[in-house]
Amino acid sequence: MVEKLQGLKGSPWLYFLSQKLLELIVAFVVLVAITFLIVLLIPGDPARVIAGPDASQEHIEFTRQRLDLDLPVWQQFWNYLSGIFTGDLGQSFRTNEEVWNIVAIRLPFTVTIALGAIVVAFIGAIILGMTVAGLTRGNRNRWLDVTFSWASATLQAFPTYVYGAILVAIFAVALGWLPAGGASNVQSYILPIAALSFGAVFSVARIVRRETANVLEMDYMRTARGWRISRLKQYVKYALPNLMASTLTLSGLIFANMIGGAVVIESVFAWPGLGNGVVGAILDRDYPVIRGIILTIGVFAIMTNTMIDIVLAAFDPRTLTAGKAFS
Amino acid sequence: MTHRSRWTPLLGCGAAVALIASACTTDDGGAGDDANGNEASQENPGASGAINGPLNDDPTTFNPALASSLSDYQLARLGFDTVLRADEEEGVIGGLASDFEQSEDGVELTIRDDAYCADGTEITPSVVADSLSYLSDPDTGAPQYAQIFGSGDVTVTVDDDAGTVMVELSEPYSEITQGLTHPASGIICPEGLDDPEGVDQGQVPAAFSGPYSMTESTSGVEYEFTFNEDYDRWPQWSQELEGHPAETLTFVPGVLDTSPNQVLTGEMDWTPVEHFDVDRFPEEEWNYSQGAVGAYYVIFNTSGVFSDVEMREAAAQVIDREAFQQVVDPTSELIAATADAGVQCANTDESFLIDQDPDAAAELLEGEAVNIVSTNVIGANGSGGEYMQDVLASAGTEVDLNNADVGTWLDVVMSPEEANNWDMTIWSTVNVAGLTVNGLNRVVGPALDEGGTSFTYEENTDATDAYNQALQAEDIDEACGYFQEAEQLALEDIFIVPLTDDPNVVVSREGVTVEHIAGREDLSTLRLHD
Repeated sequence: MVEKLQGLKGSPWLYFLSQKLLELIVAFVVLVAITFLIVLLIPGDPARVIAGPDASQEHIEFTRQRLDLDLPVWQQFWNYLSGIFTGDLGQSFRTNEEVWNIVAIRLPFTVTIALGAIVVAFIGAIILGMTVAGLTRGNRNRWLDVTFSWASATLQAFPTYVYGAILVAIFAVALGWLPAGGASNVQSYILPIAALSFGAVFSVARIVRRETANVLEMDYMRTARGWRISRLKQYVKYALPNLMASTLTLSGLIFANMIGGAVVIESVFAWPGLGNGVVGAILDRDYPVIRGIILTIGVFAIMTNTMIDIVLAAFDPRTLTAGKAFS
Repeated sequence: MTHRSRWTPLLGCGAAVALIASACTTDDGGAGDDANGNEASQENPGASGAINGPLNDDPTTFNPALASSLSDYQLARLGFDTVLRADEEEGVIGGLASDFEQSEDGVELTIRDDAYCADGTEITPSVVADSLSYLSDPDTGAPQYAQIFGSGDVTVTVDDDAGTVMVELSEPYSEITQGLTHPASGIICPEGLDDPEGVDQGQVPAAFSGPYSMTESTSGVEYEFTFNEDYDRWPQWSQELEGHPAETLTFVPGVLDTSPNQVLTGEMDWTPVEHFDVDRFPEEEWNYSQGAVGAYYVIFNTSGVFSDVEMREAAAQVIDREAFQQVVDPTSELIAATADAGVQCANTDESFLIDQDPDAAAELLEGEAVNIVSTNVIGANGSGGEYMQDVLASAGTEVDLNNADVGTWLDVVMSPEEANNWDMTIWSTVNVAGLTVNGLNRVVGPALDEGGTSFTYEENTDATDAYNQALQAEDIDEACGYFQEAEQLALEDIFIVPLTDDPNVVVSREGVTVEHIAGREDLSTLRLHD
């Protein structure tokens, strides 16, 4: 063991991982501070909102004490901080439910549609991007190249809620094929995943097309074509592995954004995930739930980005020392 | 109580992707089919099938005594019977109490002898008294205390031999019987009173005294209520309910934006609808029921530009109530004071309203600065506040509109320290028990900064006297006379401009009905028709 550690000493991987760990810690500290402070910027007295419009002043004060909102801000921050390190995110102001429980119920719904969407986007983008690249290789089918560039740029720019509304209008309301909202059955997952993945398909497909076009001009691909290897085999066996690094990187970043972007799409589909939860919590001034959900989404984004960096380093060891070179 | 596995959705992911790939289509419907497809329960010959519908949001509590949101009230009505119930024609009728007698001191309730909790425990007068004592205990912190019992202390005494419970009030409150119809006054059975925190989380099955018990709950996802075997003590409403109760009621929270679509696609059986959705549900194909949640009316803050009654009159002269109605909700009804027509003592005399005269108003209002604080839930995207801004600006007023979310709006209007930051607001009541005091108490009596509830910041002595006399009245007829006098005096001094009710339109599919009783939605009236 000691020998192994000594062997790692001076290793670029050790430097890289310790740098990532440090970044992770700094990002987490900043995230904790932001999640605490940001809710204090929301206007309105949570005690008054929680107590309701018909509550007496005595009941509002009673509520304020019950929620520890009468404590000084530093003490509230200390309670929040110590809670995080003891695994206690507190209780919902509104329902008294443990915040962990709320997050645990909602997180799988959000992760599911985000994962589903990224899988759909990844597969769809590879098929679309490689097909267009193949058909436009060597300046053939110029019209297709231009049309694809224009259409994909336009379609990737559409907000997800536009796709959501269009999909509901067509497949739920007009055709009655799929549920319009909620998460009551397996079919309920189809439209939110489709809405979330639609723009991402075109974003990733543009990268896939460009990378494929580069790969197709490489010598080994010319050799493969010269050997009359079937086109499917050329693309799947020889071209695809060379696209994976950049495509995976972009997909990972899009996935992290999708977790955050789910806020909007969950509202469109009344999806019981973190996004819908945080919107409701903001309107209710439910500080612990807002903090718990934003903290979870933030940790998810930080971890995803770190994982992408590590996977990228594994694919391309040059990135291990990239930071060092600049330092 | 069972809980759905929290990782079930992940399993759905793979299936969903596979379904997309195979261009899958659903069968004919979702929950709607469940509603039709469930076989009648052998144990519950009177209740069968299932009904699926939406909730505003997650309930804040399952303890009726702590209820403070619409969802809380809706579910409390299912799980906890109240001693008295509202009725369209009779006003107040018996619930768990077979009879009641109101006096200056309070109300004496005669408890029926055939009522049982969900676990079979008999609901005796002592059980009722214990529950009402818990509700009225200041340590409980019941948010609806004042609406149910008024402003004084409460003493509950029981006579088991006579089968009566006496609710004595230290301060007169003539609306006590109406207050005891409030879903927040639902009776909690003994096991629930032993574990109030458990009731709060809905985890004490024996606490339920109403027609349904909650049998499954996953916050943010679904709440399921199951009919209590042998429950048959429905109130003797003057409007007869047809059909039979469902064995299972399922509620999905936070889906009101999508629930009309979900009813159209058969995923749900009923939903409240906004006026812009009404055309999607032709009356010949869908069942309708309409009532109100509360009322909208303008309140003037007299500590600023509207300290002068002539200025208030001028502002009232530019407000076209019918135009406001069209802007905010064409399905609403105009009101004549601070309450909708479903409220027993609501003033309906429109002769006290100010006639429109924008030209005369402009002479006084031109150049004045007015701060309006309103909320974006009054009309689509806060169109109610925008209407007020527009008409006052047309009269030459420099208008600053703060069209905030509910939390911010409440904070501004209800904080005495914010009194100088607004001049008028559109107040919106949530009046689930149809109380006259709910609404009127915002314009009579001491102001917020003096420990009262009035937003006007100027006590209208005559109206307050009439209001206090109404509270001291021995019966509701006498009380109504004084309440209406108080409302008319507030109108004469132009503390308010009545606008419309806050309508609650519910659509249900063929074979499902839900009723508004005395103008208020009551989910215990959900019925299936075979």
